[in-house]
Amino acid sequence: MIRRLLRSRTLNHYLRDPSAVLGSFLLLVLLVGAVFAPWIAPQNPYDPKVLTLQDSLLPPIWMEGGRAPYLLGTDDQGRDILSTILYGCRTSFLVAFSVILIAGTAGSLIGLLAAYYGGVLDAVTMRLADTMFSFSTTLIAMLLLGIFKGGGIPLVILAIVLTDWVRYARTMRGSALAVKQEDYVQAARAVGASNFRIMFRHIIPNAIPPILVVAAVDFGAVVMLEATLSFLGVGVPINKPSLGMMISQGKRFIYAGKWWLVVFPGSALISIVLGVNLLADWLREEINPRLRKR
Amino acid sequence: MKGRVAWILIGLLVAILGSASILGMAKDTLVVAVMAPPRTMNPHGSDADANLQIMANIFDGLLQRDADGNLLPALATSWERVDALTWRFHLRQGVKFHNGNDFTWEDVKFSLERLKEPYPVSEFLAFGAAIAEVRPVDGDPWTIDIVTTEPVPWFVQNLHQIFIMDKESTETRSIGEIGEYPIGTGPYKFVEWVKGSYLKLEANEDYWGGPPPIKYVVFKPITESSTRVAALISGEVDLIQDVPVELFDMVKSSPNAEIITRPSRRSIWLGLRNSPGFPGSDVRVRKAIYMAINEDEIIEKVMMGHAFPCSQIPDPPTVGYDASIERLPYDPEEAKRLLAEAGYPDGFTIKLTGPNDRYVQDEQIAQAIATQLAKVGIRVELDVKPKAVYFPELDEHGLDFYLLGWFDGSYDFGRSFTKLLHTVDPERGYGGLNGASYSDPVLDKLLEASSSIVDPTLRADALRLLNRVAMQEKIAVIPLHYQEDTYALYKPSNVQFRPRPDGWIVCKDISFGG
Repeated sequence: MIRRLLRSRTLNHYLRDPSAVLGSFLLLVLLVGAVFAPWIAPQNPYDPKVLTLQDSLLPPIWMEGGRAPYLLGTDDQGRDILSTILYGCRTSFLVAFSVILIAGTAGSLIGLLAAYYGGVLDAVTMRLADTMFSFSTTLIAMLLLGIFKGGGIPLVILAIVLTDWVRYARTMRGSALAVKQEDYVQAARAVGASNFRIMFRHIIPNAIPPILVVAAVDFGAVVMLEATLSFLGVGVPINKPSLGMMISQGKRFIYAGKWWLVVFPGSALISIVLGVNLLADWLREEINPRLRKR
Repeated sequence: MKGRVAWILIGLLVAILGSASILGMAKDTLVVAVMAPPRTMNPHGSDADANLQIMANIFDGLLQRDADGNLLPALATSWERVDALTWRFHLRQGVKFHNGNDFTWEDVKFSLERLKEPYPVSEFLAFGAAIAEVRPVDGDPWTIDIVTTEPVPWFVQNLHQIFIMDKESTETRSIGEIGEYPIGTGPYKFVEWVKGSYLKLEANEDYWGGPPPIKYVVFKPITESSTRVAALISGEVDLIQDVPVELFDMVKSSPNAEIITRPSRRSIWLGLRNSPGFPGSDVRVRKAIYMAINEDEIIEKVMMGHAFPCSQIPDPPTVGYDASIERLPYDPEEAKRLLAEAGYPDGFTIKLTGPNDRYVQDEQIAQAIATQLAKVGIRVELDVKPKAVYFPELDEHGLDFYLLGWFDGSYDFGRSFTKLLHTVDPERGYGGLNGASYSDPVLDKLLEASSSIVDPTLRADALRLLNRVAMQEKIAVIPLHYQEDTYALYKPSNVQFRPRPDGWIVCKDISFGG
């Protein structure tokens, strides 16, 4: 099994693609940091009991005035920047995974049904999708968060899902429409397979690869979107900052020379998005060999 | 070849015009960057200082305040209190509105009665409701009596912000037009308002107090604080209001900027519900919260040194201020003991509501308080929001624990108390800003006892007593600090400017020096 994997084409291509390796390395580091944040972070920045205002706005440890345990310095409320980044990455990953799971499942299902049954169902859902798509996701999310008076990760997830499902619905519909015409689907129908069986045994497996690619590309976009919403102040609560919130709170201090408030969370955000996109690029080429550069 | 000559000529022309405007012509326009844009040009349409300070340049009140806060004559040349209900004013003769109409007592009567009409006409409803009659005395149109429905001891103290409008042009125009194009008697005339961008005013050469020194004034709202600072340092604006504390040192070190500060009249404090069943109904809990807050740390770390601790709502010049009131000491151990004694050994959870775009570092103060209260076991849920959402919520009196700033434009703690802490009573206009429905019968009685006293000295004593009982026995609010007003000037413009106690930018008192 392992030998097969080691000799496989996929692994070979992966190892020969330095950007894919770099991407997964970045992601892995941040993902591990995020998952194990409660154990590895020097401080729980979301617990007001452990914060001290006396330690606010300290520079990184290697600069004059910096001190342990604040490796990357502290923010204006005395939160350790490194710890807050780790906890912030948790929020980023949590939101991104949840959105992709929910929007991916729901969107794919809608797309599949629309393609398979066609007619009115198809027309209605796809016009709905077009309408949703014609608005900027940020705008719709802000509107929703404004109506529900903002705040809270579940609401951020819901707000993003409400527009994000469209990508999956369209992709799935496209693939399903193509696969539907294939001989083996016609054959399955001819031997009397149920609609359910045709959809889940014959159509879905063939439509999964493009959905995976969409999900991979979408991941980075969702992370950015959460950061944007938090930056604009309609996302996470202020005392539980995510990366976007850290950047928006820190930007006031850039002019005052306190660059670490923005540069470190900004770098973490860039790393996540870059890592995901590099990996998504590789995945896309792998799944669609015609794109591969030879 | 012809084309090139033309370009050279154009270039020369631009160079000449450019240098002429720098060297030749004296600067005649003052550009002021303010934190909040004006909402309307209707002088009674907003009681926010952001609006009033601009109206004060276009309109006059019967009275005005100088840069030290003293009450001076304006459209009235003198005034006296005839009896508990009646105030007599001698009006200034020969004043003209910007449209050429003469100023008469009818304009005064019209403007004061206009205060009674609800939004969008007036936000001074409570003051308007107190006015019973405006009438000339013995047929002399230049002497009028204003009669109030009940004794309003601080009546004249408010007249610098009640602006007088032209009866004729106000009656004949729609409220929409009035809100777009102001016609006053003030030192500056309206030129142009591009909403969200700028408001341009031109000196009124016929101003009764003499033409103001600067010909044109432009008010530019720049809400983003670092952008406001950048505009000043680049010379795009000559004067800015509200230098953000985090950029204070940076601005100070800039060779182009000069910083001017003044202790603000505004105090920042926390209101707390005291209805039965709520933790705040026990004065020990109120004391515990007070003592768990380390105000020195907030001033040092959150306000970056730009604030002064306060022990009460009013500032020293306000009637009712009592210098003998001291802050409770910062003592978290005692706070924990008090909480345990009150039956909350493990603390409790409470929601702190506040604005995030109104006061200096408001959102950061709220966070710091959550951090400090956590140390004695009080878990604070933070609910900070834009002022446009927060203030309507405050008006519904349903908050538990909230952050508010206050300074009394009429320098009267009695007026402050009726708005902020008196038991909510919409019919009498009491408790309008009492965000948590705070109610204490003893304090209410003390206030009511004070308002019937005509003698100013005795009344001040009564108000001081009210203040002492409220702050020392009842802990009616938890005081934090007085803000510091900060301004920055663009040095090359050589602006001569003195900050006022109310923080308004009154341009007739500003000039370009040397």
